[in-house]
Amino acid sequence: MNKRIEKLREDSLKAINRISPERADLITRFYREPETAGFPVPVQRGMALLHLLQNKKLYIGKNELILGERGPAPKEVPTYPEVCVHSLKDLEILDTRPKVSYKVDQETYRIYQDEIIPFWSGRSIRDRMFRILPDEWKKAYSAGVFTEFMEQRAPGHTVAGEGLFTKGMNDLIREIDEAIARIDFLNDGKALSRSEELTGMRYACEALIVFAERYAKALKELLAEEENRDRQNDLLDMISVCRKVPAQAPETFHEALQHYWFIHVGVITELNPWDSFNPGRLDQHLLPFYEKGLADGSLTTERAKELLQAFWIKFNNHPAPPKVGVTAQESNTYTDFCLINVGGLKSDGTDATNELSFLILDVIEEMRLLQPGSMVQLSQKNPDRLIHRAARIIKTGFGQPSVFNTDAIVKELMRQGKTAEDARRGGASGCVEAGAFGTEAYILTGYFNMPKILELTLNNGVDPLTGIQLGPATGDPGDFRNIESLISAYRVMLQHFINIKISGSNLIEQIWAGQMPAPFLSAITEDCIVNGTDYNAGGARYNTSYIQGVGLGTMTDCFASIRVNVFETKRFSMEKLLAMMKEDFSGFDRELAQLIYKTPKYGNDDEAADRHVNDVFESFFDAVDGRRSPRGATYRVEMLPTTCHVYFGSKVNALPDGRRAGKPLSEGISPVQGADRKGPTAVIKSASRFDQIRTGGTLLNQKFSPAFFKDDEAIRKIGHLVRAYFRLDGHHIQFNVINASTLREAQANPEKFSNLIVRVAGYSDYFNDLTPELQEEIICRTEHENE
Amino acid sequence: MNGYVFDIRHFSVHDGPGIRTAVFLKGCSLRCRWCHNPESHDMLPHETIVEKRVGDKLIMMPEITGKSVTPAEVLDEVLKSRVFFEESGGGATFTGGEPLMQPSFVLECIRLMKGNNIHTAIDTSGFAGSEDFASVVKETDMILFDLKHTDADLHQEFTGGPLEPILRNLRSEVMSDKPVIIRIPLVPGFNMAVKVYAKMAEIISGLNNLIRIDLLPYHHYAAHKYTRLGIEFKMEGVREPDSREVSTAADFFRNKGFELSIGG
Repeated sequence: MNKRIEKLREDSLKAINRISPERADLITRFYREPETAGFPVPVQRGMALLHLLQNKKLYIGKNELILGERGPAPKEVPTYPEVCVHSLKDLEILDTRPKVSYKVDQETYRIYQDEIIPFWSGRSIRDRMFRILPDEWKKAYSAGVFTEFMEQRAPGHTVAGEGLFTKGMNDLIREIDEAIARIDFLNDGKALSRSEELTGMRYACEALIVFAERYAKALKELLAEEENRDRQNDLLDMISVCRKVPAQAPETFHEALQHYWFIHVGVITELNPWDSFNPGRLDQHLLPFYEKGLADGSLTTERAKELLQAFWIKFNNHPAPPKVGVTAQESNTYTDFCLINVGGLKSDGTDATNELSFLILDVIEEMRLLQPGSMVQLSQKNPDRLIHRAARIIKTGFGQPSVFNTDAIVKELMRQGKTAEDARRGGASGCVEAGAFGTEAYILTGYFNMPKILELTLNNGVDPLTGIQLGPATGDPGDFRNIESLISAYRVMLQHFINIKISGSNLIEQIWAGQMPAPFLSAITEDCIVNGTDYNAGGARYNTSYIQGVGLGTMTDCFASIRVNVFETKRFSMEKLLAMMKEDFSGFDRELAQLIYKTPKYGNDDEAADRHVNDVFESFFDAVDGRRSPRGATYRVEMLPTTCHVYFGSKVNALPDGRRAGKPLSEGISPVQGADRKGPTAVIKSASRFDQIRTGGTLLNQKFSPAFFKDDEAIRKIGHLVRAYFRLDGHHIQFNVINASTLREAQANPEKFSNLIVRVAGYSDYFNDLTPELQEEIICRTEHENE
Repeated sequence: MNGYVFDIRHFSVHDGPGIRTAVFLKGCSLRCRWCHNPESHDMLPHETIVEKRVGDKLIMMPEITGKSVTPAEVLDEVLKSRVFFEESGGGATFTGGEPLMQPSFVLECIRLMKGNNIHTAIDTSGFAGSEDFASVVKETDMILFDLKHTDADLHQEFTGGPLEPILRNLRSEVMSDKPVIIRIPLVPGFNMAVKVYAKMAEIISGLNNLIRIDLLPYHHYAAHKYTRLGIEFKMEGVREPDSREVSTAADFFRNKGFELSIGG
């Protein structure tokens, strides 16, 4: 990277995360104006965005090439009191916690105390939500049966489509005006709401134009004072870019990046949608601009790379909006889950890999930033060069890029009813979520704790943590005569709580649709304009609501353990097993060793355990898939945890697989930590035992030591491993290349790392199987390799 | 027909081409001092006590090393990795122990693999009767053949077995067109001398279809296994070769025009 980028990157890394009261203050002033109340809600929201973008401070960093910050400066994060209000206590937690803190200055505390809290308390979406959610929902929520995404952040998980790069705000305004002109007040019962929604969108699009114009003006003022010739040229470039986009469609590479970035800032200023926003298939969207620039001589590869790098830094400047309450104490990441997609298929089904795909991979490797996240889409049709290049970056050990199966994603999306073309224009966003980019509102509603359901089933509906009868009485566990009868009871319990979850989500969805539309996000999501309907109200071409199942591995092992130990070998009676669990296995070391080491486990390609993965998956799928929501979305399942398996684990006592009370559940579709002893091929086989095509995403993590990736042959073998998993319809795989500090941790906590493979000399072995001296030797070696 | 196997490991990536499944056969009549798998020496299964961690406690649990299995059972286990073989050009490698201690069992396994389009390799010390050797090698797609020394006395002293039958097998008719990888352990105080390399090179030059040479520098990783099994560890005090010494050996063979890999 050149000097400029080096400096910008360093500044971004060094910038301190702070809470900025600017947005909260502006939005409060806007809503306090008496005339605001006179406008319909969608119009208010469009006007609110205009108010924000007209008045927020502009930031132009020294030597910046891409402009626009959500806050007044990099890493200064605004808040969204209309969604949820931080209490003074929340601010203090955020300010003072040792990890993932957001600094809060005295002025912010004051503004919050005097202005924000008094105005918004009781009015925020969160307050409204908790006022009307039924008791049974709240009880299940507190017991850790499920979480709720929309209590602190707006519906999101949406990615830009190619249309975004071919239209300017003026084009959208024209489409909006045409849609308004078409409204049929004679016959359409929703004519008024359509008209209000479209008016809100129009304000929002205008807001973006105003924002860019303000930048052009500010740049001109800077130019008058700038003495450095190079910087003068930068400023002239940027003035012309900001005069063009986002009002008009971009025509150059620089314009395209700035165009997207203005829109990005627009989306995340309007509201705080989950996963912020995402440019999606960047190597596809930018290719026409790249090729044109190279052909007419206005762009070089070096300049394209510099601009991309400047663009990367903008993502890193934007940590996730800070959470409140319990979630604030638990959430420990600044990541906001933007996920750049590279590779995959064109909409006509051919290989989409291009020169820019590889340039972007170079950028990912060189920038080595937490944000944006990156991934490679790998179809059967993509060249091996793509996965090999990705493996070489994975090898450097910062967890990027992850690898996705394009062919599986396309099948998943088509099963849900997308056209083949729309499916191929899609990819994955957030962690692993499949979506049709630009055309779909695919909203994650919350994680679901499957092992908690088993725990309730084994206690006849009583939550052992509280003694409360939380679920229906599904039968005395001692009466189950075989694993099938237990699984039937589990299914009844599961359906009961899925129904509670879905009722809650349906209610919450209507609150958002009615009270907090997102006219800007709607204007850039296809079919919202044509339908005259908001993104939050089902306006997009495709609408999906996900519930994410957590604990697949733990559940599979629990069923296997009960079947084998209680019903087959009869080593323990059900009563004995439950009694040991009640004591958290304390005093039952030998029995616990039996459960951990002598009972079949998911992740070893062992039929005795893996047959139950389908009991777990199919019951969850049956309970959720195909249900309809008020906005016209369909509920679907995903199998991913983020970090929720830790929280959920804290809400579950000891389990039949030997997991002790409070410990994390298994993660994603990965095996229980340490239960897989037969290497990555066995894990892949187990993980592909259930039909991943009927999900919207699964997450599989694999750990490797850096030394495994020692040469080209190893890189090729990683490629083979991935291709084999994808041939079995695996959705996603991620390689965790472990560094020395993790190996240290593995040394101290071997039970958590029993699946860690390290390359020793002429062979690879499990780290735990090595003598302490050898472990030491490998740890030292690794540090050398990482230099 | 049954055979004794002590492990079947998937995702073996150092024992032949592609991603492989290694079938470890129990039993070996050599006693190489540096052997990494002393648990494979005896052919019959035996019980060992293994420490298992439960929370912060260690629980002693008996485990049986070795198992009597049928070729069909071996095939079933190996087939679990079929998709990986097909993607990577991998297959099954029979190792041990000495696979040729159980020639008819291995032969039957290899025939079953063949019937399922699975590439096979054997990893052998070469210490076997000529007929057994020929019958198995004939059916196998690739041979990984150890060459430890060229001096009969030293070979006898350090491996407990004669050199002559090994060389005879290496030079036999059945080996003439077989793809072969020669694996040379580099053991200080035993074979790390240029004049040994020179004689080895001469022998290796006689092979028509040599893929490459693997140099396997000695490591004392397996010392703890000897303690656990109560077997005397004769390599006590022998140091591991340093990288300069390994380079000397590698350069020697490379200069002779051989393909070479360090560590397999």
